[in-house]
Amino acid sequence: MILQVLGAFLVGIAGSIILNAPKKVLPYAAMVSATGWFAYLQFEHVLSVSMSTFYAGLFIALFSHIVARIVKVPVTLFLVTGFLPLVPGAGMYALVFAFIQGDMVQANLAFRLVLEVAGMIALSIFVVDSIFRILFRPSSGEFTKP
Amino acid sequence: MDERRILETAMLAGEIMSASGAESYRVEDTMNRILHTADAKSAEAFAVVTGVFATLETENEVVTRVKRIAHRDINLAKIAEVNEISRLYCQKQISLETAYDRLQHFTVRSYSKAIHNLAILLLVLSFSFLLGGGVQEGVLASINGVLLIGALVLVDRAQVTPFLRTLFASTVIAFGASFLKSFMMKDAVLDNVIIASMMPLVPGTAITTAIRDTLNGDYMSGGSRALESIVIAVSIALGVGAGLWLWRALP
Repeated sequence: MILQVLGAFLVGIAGSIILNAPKKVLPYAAMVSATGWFAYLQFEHVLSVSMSTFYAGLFIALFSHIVARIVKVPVTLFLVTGFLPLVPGAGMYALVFAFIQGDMVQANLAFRLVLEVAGMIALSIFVVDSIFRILFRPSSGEFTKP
Repeated sequence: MDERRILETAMLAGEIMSASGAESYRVEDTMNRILHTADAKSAEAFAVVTGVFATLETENEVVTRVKRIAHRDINLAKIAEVNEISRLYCQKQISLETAYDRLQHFTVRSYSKAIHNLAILLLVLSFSFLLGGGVQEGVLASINGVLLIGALVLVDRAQVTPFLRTLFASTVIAFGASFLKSFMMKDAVLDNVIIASMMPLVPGTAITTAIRDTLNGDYMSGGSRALESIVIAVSIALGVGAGLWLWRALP
């Protein structure tokens, strides 16, 4: 568990470097990824995979928006690396594996799970983006959007 | 004359941001903010994934600029830098000339190729841990990460389309992981190694940007980026499938 969260922390750093993010955001991006993955692991104990993705996604998006406003950089920097651990890579693999084995029932299940998880990621970004858009409607002439 | 310079500044900012993979609404927003500092009757900016347009109408003339964006890559540092310059300019902390000059000449300290590749390796290794892998999976994932980097260097030299690039790289990692497992550590979890090594190929930025563009009503940009991420995801799946199949087809 600690090792998993540490893994997520390093994912934040490595992901930011791959995307050419400025150096000053690396620690924040790592923090967003690590806490996001920690949150997901907690939700996963009690909820289904897609619902845990949704709640963890809400948390990550919210955290990203707040950090982006503090550091004054585009929020995408944190969203991309923050959501990287939630991307349904495992589901995609399960889909391909089942397909190769000729197990269509498993393949269908995996496909549905991938779609669900991807949808939940989109939904959580939608929700938090909309909230921030309503709360922080930029007044004229003022540069507020991070 | 000043108006033209403002238009050029806005175009330059938009061009750099679009070419670095920023969301369309952000590009338009930045351009509009710069344009609105001009003393003009009307100003309008329009950005899609493949180009930026801006027009500025003053008392006696209308000036329009079009810039086609042919080459795009993802560089979040550039987006952040342009954002910073335009923010300073719009808050009147720097002059128009300074802003234009900084936009033209700023160099983002990108990471060197070696650091970039190390980061790919680190990403693979950390994903192996993140997905609950142990020491064995970590070792295999690291070796497989080196294979992935090798494959990427090879395809980037050949300059193929993104689809083929991902297809080739994911075939290599799936085959490589199966190979490494059966020759080095027979009881390592194969799933973990393969999933961890395919993570650097996942189009995270395209997915996020597609979602945010679509939310904002920029269906053209959102749609094309969604399609981009689907194509890449399909090519990863196909490649992993091909790699696993190849390994099985071997006697």
